[in-house]
Amino acid sequence: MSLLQVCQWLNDTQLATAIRESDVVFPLIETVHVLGIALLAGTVAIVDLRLLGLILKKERVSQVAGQILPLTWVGFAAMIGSGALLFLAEAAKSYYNPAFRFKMFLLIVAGLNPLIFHSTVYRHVSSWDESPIAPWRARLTAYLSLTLWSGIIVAGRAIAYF
Amino acid sequence: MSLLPLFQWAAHAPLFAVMRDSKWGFAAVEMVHLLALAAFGGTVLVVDLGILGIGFRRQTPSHVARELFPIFLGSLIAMVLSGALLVAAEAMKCYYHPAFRLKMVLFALAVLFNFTIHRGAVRAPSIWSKMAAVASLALWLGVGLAGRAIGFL
Repeated sequence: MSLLQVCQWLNDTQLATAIRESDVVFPLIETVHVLGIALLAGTVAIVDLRLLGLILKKERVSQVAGQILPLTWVGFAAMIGSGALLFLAEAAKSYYNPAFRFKMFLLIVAGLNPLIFHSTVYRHVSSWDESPIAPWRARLTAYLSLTLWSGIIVAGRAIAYF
Repeated sequence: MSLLPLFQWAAHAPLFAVMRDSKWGFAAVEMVHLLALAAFGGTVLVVDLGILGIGFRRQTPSHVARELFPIFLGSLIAMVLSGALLVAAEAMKCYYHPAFRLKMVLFALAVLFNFTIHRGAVRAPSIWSKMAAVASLALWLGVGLAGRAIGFL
């Protein structure tokens, strides 16, 4: 079964049809999706800005990141859950949508970024935890993260225009 | 004084022709509006949840709020400016739209609440400040829901 056929099949499920045909459910799920993104991207941005030395400079990086991480995960869960439902409702259309494809690509890169960050620079966080500005490799991660998440939001909005 | 003349002016002003006539002009401003919303919503959530003891627990809410204030204010200004352009593109639709009117009332209340009662609540932690945090979250959520409703009602 090809990916297109999977999308077509998802598109024709009862749940997908129900979401698609309701006037209220789709925009309500969209609202949850935007809230999830605000929590996810907002908390990610706070950690990024701390790495860049723009906010919470006197706080330890590990303390800022550690306290805020549970909120990031809640935002992530809300975003993925609602996003999956939105995709389900328009699976066949999304498959061909260039903005959707680009958004999925950006999501994967945005997911790899913290994986690399945590297995490299962040392992030695104790040596730069209290410095107001993080080392350049951590700052590079922060710039990448801010750019990628902005791109995801922009691409997400663009889905409706294709 | 009625605001109708202002909306009528915006609906015909050559200044906003690009917003009215270009699909991607409108889309680009929507993207800015959403980017600002993500930053703004994130800040509000982190500060209010901090007051409720979720997330930032080791820092005082007033410290967190002060550190995040530049993001709060910057994204608020970006949202108001981009929002004004979006309204200008659909001035007459917005003027008569119940969801838009509700959003503006809730927005005015939320801003007023934030710079008065909420400000005091952030400073002195108590059961009242927790209630203020919940009220703030509810008001901003209301603004968001009403905003979403403009697009499909």
